[in-house]
Amino acid sequence: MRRPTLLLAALLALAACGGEAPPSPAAGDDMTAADAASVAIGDAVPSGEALSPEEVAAQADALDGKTVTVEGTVRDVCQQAGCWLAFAGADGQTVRVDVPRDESESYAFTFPKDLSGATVRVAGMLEVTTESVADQRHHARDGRASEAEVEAITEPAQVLVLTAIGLEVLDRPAPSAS
Amino acid sequence: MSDAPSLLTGESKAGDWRQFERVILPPIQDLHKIDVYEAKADGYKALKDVVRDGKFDPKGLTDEVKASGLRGRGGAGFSTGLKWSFMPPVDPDTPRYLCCNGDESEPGTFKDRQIFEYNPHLMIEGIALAGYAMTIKTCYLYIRGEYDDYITHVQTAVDEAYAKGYLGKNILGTDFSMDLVVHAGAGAYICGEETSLMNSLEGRRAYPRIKPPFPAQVGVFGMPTTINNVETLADVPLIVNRGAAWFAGIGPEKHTGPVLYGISGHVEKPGVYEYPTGMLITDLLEVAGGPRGGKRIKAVVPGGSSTPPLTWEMAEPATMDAETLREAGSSMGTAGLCFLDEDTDMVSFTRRIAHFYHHESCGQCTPCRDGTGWMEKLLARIDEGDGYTRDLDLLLDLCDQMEGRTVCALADAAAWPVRWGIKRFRDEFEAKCQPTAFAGADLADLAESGDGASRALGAATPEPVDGDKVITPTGTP
Repeated sequence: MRRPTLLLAALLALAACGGEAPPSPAAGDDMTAADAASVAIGDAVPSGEALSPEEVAAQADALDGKTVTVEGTVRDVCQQAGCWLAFAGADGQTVRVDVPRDESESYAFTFPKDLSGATVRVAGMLEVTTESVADQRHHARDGRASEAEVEAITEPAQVLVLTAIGLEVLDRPAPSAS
Repeated sequence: MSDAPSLLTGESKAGDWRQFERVILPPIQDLHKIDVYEAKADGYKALKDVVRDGKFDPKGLTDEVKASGLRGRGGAGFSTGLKWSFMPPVDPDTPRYLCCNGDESEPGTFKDRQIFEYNPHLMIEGIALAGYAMTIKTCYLYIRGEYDDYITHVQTAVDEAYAKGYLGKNILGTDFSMDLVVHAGAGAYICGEETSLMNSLEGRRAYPRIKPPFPAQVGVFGMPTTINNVETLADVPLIVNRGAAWFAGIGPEKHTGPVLYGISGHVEKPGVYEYPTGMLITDLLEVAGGPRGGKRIKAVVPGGSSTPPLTWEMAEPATMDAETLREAGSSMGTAGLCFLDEDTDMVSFTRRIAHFYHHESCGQCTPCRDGTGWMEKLLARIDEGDGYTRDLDLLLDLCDQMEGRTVCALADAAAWPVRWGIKRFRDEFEAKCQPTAFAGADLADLAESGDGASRALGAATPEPVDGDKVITPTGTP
């Protein structure tokens, strides 16, 4: 009796595998690299007018502690964990977007690591803070800056940090052929 | 800004806490029975107001919870409303799940079981409201496996709620339906970690999952999932009934609402006490009847065994809210405070905690699996008088190799009490150690340099045996 039962089970298993739709992503699959569908992360970003990184930099003191919506082109993304991105264009002033963390320092979400060059809208609370040389170098290394660029950081600097509640990808460059 | 004024003022941020009215565990007899809950505690009024009478639409309810400032009560302290808003837009073809985490297994944490026992319908009503806010039709209530009696007790309450139409199909005659499944936990501490909980629910070994993907994208059975703690969800009907402004007006601005403090250790009246956030630790000591036997309190673990211990001098000006405790050098965790009096051996205490984490490490990640074991071995050696002062730095180095290097936070939870125990009570650890000496060192010089305890120098590090590598620090002959 045992052998026919096992054979039947094996046949049923084979039948179940055939002709099915491809499996959806399983838990543990790497979703870090963004795909075309992943255009929103976290909470919905409010519609309406958004500030540019340059405008945020120009009004930093007035916006400190306030929730703002910023739209701009991503310059760098943390290549270690996707835990921050930085906007391009704010001349000499870093406008960085951090993902929110909980009390155990775990990330609430992370950004796709391939967002450099993409246009995004982000909502979050702005904080004007002074960042130490060590922290600046840490961020530079995680953004894959060259060692010469890292070594060139020698002074604490004011940075504008937006702790994101949500991000929306508006446009992203096509992947390179290579 | 970094130049913000200190929060460690020694002033309570809990307002007139002596007049505080208990709302999560109100003093009502037989409140666990649905008829009593309905008649004497406005039971299921919030659900009727929202689902049947349209007080809030799903987004409106989420916004109300955001406005209340409610932060998760399970230890991570993240904004509950914001977490709800991370769920993706509703897709009718994709199921989505809510998990209510009642696995509480952290030593020193025993507050959710009070809700299970005395006010389970408040939690059930909160679950239904959360389901409505996120358009979820199924919730799994994961209760710690060892809580056998509570599982039966809660199942009875769930059955009552089904019978009265507060759960199931077409709740209160509306098109909102929700099922609540009570699931007995698999009996391990790691099952309370949110991604392990999901694996356990699916019948798998409770290994934590790598994030991303986060549960809101890929959760239980690969579907969008939100996980909230029991006490967190029990707060939701209170917010609906009394308003976000009421909730936000309790305690400090950034960490609001009533909270269940689980007080244990060397106090006269250990137990669960409901008060606002922002209570002074000294006031909570008073609430718990003061130190047992009139002794002096030496240390406080403010939020469950994984949170860094504070010396009494550090704890005295601190209040129980996330921001203040961070500045004080610890964290709120689950608000499970453990007071330790002057007779406590901090080495033995730390060793006992290390034993727990070693036992409970799931073994998936090497730094945790091996690190917790080495941690316990080193602490046992020190506790038994066979350790050396160099072992303390070895332990700190071990903490460096564990923190942030694993899939989940268990390794961090194991490392923090050891790291901060040594840093804040180093004299006690050193007093149990023999002085470290290196081969060829002048032991008389070593004694003068104050390297650890003042034990007899004859008990220096043993001579290396064949195969041992002798490390000679710079400057040592």
